[in-house]
Amino acid sequence: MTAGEPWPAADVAGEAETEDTAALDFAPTDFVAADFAAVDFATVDFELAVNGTAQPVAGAWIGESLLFALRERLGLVAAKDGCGEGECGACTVLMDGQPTAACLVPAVAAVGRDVRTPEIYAVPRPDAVAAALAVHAGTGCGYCLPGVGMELRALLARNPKPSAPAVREALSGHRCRCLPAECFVDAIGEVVAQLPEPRKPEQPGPQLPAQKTRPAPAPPAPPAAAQRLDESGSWSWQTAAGASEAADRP
Amino acid sequence: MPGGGPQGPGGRSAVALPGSLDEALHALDELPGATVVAGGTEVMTEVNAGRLWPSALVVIDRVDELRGVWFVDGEIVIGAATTCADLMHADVRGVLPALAQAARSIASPGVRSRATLGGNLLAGKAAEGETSAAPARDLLPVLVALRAVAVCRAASGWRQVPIAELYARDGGADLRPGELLTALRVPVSGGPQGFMKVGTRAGSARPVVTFALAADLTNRTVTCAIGGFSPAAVRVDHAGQWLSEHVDWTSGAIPDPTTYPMFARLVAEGLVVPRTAGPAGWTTAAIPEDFRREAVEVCARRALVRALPPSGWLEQVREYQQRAEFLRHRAAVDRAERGLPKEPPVPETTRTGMR
Amino acid sequence: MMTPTSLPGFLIGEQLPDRQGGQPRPIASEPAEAGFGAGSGDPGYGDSGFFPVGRSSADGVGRAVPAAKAAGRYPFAADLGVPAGPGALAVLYAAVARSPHARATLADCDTEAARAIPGVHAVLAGADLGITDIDYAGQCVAVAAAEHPALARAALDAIVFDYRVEEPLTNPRQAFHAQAIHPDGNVAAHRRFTVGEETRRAGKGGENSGDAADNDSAVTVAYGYEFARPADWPGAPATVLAVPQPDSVEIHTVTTDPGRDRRAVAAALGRPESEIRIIPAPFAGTAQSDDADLRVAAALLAARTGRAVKAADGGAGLTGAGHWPAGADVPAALVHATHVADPDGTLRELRVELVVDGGAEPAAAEALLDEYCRLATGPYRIPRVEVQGWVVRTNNPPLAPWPGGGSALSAAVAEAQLDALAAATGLTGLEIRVKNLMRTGDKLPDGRAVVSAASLPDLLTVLLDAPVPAFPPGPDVRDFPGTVGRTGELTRLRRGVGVALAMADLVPPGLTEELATAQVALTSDVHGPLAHVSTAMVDTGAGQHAMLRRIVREVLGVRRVLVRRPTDPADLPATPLASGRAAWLHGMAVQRAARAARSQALTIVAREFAVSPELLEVRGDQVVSYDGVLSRPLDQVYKRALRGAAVYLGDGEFRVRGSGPAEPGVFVPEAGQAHLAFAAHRAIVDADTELKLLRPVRVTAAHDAGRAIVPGRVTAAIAAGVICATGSVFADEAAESRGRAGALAAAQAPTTLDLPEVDVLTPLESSIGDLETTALRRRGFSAPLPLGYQPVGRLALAAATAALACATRDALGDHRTVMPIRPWHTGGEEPPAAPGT
Repeated sequence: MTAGEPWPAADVAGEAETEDTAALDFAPTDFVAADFAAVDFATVDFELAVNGTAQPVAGAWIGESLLFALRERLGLVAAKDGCGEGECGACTVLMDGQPTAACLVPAVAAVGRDVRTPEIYAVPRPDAVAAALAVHAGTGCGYCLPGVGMELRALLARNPKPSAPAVREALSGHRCRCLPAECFVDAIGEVVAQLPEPRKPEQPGPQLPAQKTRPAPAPPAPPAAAQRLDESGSWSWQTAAGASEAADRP
Repeated sequence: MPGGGPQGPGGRSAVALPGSLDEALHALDELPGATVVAGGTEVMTEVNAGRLWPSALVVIDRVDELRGVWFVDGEIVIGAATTCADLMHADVRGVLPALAQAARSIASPGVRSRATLGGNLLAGKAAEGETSAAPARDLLPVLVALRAVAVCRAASGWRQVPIAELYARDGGADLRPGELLTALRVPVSGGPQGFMKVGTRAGSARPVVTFALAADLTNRTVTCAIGGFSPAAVRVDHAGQWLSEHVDWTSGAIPDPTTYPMFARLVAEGLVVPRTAGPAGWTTAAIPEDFRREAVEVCARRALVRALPPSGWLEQVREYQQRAEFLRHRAAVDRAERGLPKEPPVPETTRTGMR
Repeated sequence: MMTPTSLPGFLIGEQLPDRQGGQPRPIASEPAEAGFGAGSGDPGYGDSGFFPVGRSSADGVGRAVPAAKAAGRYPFAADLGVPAGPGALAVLYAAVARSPHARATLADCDTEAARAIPGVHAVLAGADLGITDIDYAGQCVAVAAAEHPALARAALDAIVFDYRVEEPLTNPRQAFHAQAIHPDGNVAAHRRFTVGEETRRAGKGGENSGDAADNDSAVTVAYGYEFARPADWPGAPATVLAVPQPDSVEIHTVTTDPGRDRRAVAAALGRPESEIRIIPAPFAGTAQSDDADLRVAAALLAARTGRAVKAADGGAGLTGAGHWPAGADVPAALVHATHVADPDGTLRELRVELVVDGGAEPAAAEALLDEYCRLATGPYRIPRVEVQGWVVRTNNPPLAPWPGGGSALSAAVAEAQLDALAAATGLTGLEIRVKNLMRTGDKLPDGRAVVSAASLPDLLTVLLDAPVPAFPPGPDVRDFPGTVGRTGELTRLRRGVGVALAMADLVPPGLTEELATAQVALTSDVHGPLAHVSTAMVDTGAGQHAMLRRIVREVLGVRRVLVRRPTDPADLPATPLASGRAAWLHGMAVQRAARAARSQALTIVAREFAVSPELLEVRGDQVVSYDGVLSRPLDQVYKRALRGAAVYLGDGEFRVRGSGPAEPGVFVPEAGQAHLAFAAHRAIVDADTELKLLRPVRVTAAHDAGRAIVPGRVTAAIAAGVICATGSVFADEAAESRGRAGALAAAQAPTTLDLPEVDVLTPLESSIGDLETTALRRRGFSAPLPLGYQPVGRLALAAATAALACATRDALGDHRTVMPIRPWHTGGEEPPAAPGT
């Protein structure tokens, strides 16, 4: 005890006796093996509002993260488990519209909140962000992509035309080991380009981005090519030795 | 407790989700030994790593009294459960720019949306407790420099202490059992303020050293604080007092340019004092003291130049701007007289940047 | 007359060695992507209509897979074994306890209390796992399975371990003189190579005095470099799901070599290999290391409990802090390099001494030592070289695969030395590099002659033509060093530029043999022709299977290709393939299998053309004879050939040997010759001159990619290499972070605000065939087509590491010799005493 201690030493001793010291938030507790002789495995039942539906969760440990509840209990595995310390961003979900590292939210703290996971943005079709990410960031391993998508959706909600540094700053909590940030800047650029201009009412209404930007799948090549050859008087079979053309024709 | 709340197996839940401050205090009373969770970003890091085993939780993220910013006479009151994302809001940035800058330098959007002011101030170390992974109390130096007052509430009543006195000598946060940090009262000061952080990397960095400076032009004071080197932050009063005699307060400028390095050296001396608090967690413990001292000196100088520029500097800038404006006008008139087209042959969209 | 353009290689005159039994035997196989694509009625990632049709880079790896990744539906190992709806947990969770001591004997462990915890199903500790001696901190000492991961963790914490702690050896510098920690001694390997006549007198005294006697005017640059353990963090915690089946154990895990892992698990479980099924899961991140401990632990626990067990190391799975990297407090590699040059900058001599800390299992580090020693000169001409190196055994964790391998280490040292030499001779960095550039026929330290160095000048040229970003940056605060810390100051900014060349060995001379096999089945269904590819190649998520599909499409002209993996790995034998050669070997094997299947399917038309079926190939939508004279539409040919559920099977294999006699179909370099791949990178780094904060601005990459089959994949591999290199140059890991919370955060891996822009220039596509067709012909290769033979990812890592370090030294004006480079480190040191004896 040094001088200038804010309250008398007697108080401190009293605390130690009653084992009543952990009221303080954020205080890391040290365990020793003896603590586990009787493991106080406190569980709770509650209901989460995930992607617009109420999902009951039964028998969850109070220390469980929202990420664990989503993945292991509800089977919503699009949010990934990367680090458990808010460093990698793979677990990002939207809570009340805010991007949130689901591994750092106790599952019970999500009660009564609107939780959105990447799954909701993939049905019935991938939304513009997911589609753009698939095109521009598809060559990576893909582990961080769902989380990046959630971050970009949140970014677009608060800043409809983010600059490249803004995208980089927003993604600074996402550890992508495969792709440079330019891929994500390109992806968001494509999304922004697709968004309808709010000030020009004469523009056609919002279209499904996937239809708008990408051409329809090319027809299978062989029939078209065969037709072209027939029309152009092909050089090919006239030189074919001993070929019976009729047998080959459909 | 809100409907559909968590139910424990025996009817008595180990989790409380209080909706008001009274309920929260009641819950703390009901669940002795409970872990208080506001955002959870620090608690859950420890839980996920298997280092913390909560016996009960009191989740205070839906206590409306604790969240938000109140602008009242002569002071700004910030609820302790206000998130870092909220602190970056334009309204806060307008009145407390240094606080918004500090909030922006913390972690990433996904963490800032949950991490709270109170959590940032109390994180990392309880009094006489073990230092956690990274007690990066980046908001603390700003509040120390702004002379904020911490407001705590227990079932027995209120307690108000200057923020610097909320910490024990070892840098641990000194909350009493059953007590909650409810708000920070920050006196309004008119004048430039700024925050700087030398981190271990560019994005979501651990602080090596942080520095906050606030100049109050009406009261004619400059206060500054250093943080990041230890769990606590320290206010460097002697540098501010020395500086107040070297400032031209009417114009908000500094006449003698040698004032800047002198001030910086005085600030860096302040770093020598608080060694009792120990290093700022093990993540940055290996960084040598000399580097921190040099970094603080550089930050102090740069922050002071930005807050109180050299005398005549603004005039000089204005002069350059006027001169450039004049030249531009003369060139335009010249072109018009010679009958040359007004607009350059570049697409209209790129033209604005050229003017 | 048309010339063969698309994949003509290996067609004419090449005799494939027959497999026993003549006719290919169909092997049992299953779709390669478990849980994805299988059963969806969409074989082979074709256009299912559900996914939008991509245009740009995603074309390279297919479309469905990127779409599934972006939507979160790509099944990583951690995503398996979860309930599909609300309910209780479906599997048991396993956790791993690791030793806190670096060297100890595990005398006893008491698991009574752990087993007594309700919900804990199995606890295996110490002797149960066959562990008695602890060789490094972080070694697995106990595993537990419980109904909740937190309970598994609690069980481990309740085990009472009785360690008999001994004094560990953790500093590689002391390994030579310290007491032996292993019966084999502390020095695990030693290599010494010399080229050119000896210039040094007998004995080791006076390096500079010896040179001074030769020539007073010689310029000598000597520095000691230290490299911390590589911080190549996995993108996700290692996760293994083990599912007990009635007659086997199914193990879902990331793996680069299922066959090897199956053997390892079978040995640990004491069960026959046929009862172990390894199902490869996609990799997360670019780290190619996986966790063998975890795989065995999950299998053991699943076998013991009879329930599916999910084991995760780290992450939010509540099983405790995983990530047990080696400490960064002691360097993992020490290099002492001395370059001697004439006053005009011409390199004359190189002496290198190198010590690699192999940790507790030093055998794995020997390849690193070998590679370093062979490539120690960098792509520069040095007449006299003396390289020697040691691998030492310590009580540090086993050395993880070094990112970029020996290429990265040697490039980092060689380029740093050249910059120092340029400063000493008054030349610019570019001048000294151009002056000493390696030329065809130059000798490597191991005495092999370089087959071709022709692409080096081209690489440098395109690199220097690439634009540089504007200076000064700004006004955005995020463009300055320090970014959102707001310390940036326009007037305290210095830009550094670094150019680095790197090279990698395609086939090291010591390579005994690497083999890959494949089988291709050409068949049809109601939608038309369809090809099944059976391969042992694992798709780590980086599009390897897309590359195979592309190869088969080009050979067969079939649009729908389905990649499958063998049910029994023994059906498709393959040796472990070194990083960088997997694409080449598997690609070649698949190409040959597809050719074999094609020649069978084209038998009818070949008879009509009166040519051998081997002389026919598919170009576009035509079957064409090799000289282009005869042709026929492909769909007609296939319609007839595939009538009545016909199946054409083709087997293919490809072997690479480091040395030996020439054989058809085997790639063997000529004796004494080295096939090298090259890359050149330019890095630009801004530094705060006072705070020493660094900001990498841009890395420009010029590569010779051989033949880029999937260009998007090549670009991605290069970019990933640059990102990883940024981490190994700038990121640091706190030594105390081992096993503690926040371990990944403590590593301070670069964020998007720290990463440079990556500018990948269009890769040159000079293949070895173009350069050395005659030599290849003599080896039985008729055409210039070793597919994807260039290890671009490794090269990018090596070149970017060196370039970023050079640029940083330039920006700081300080010859930093310790990697990673941190603002608070001090500058270049005097060379330490030469290691070893």
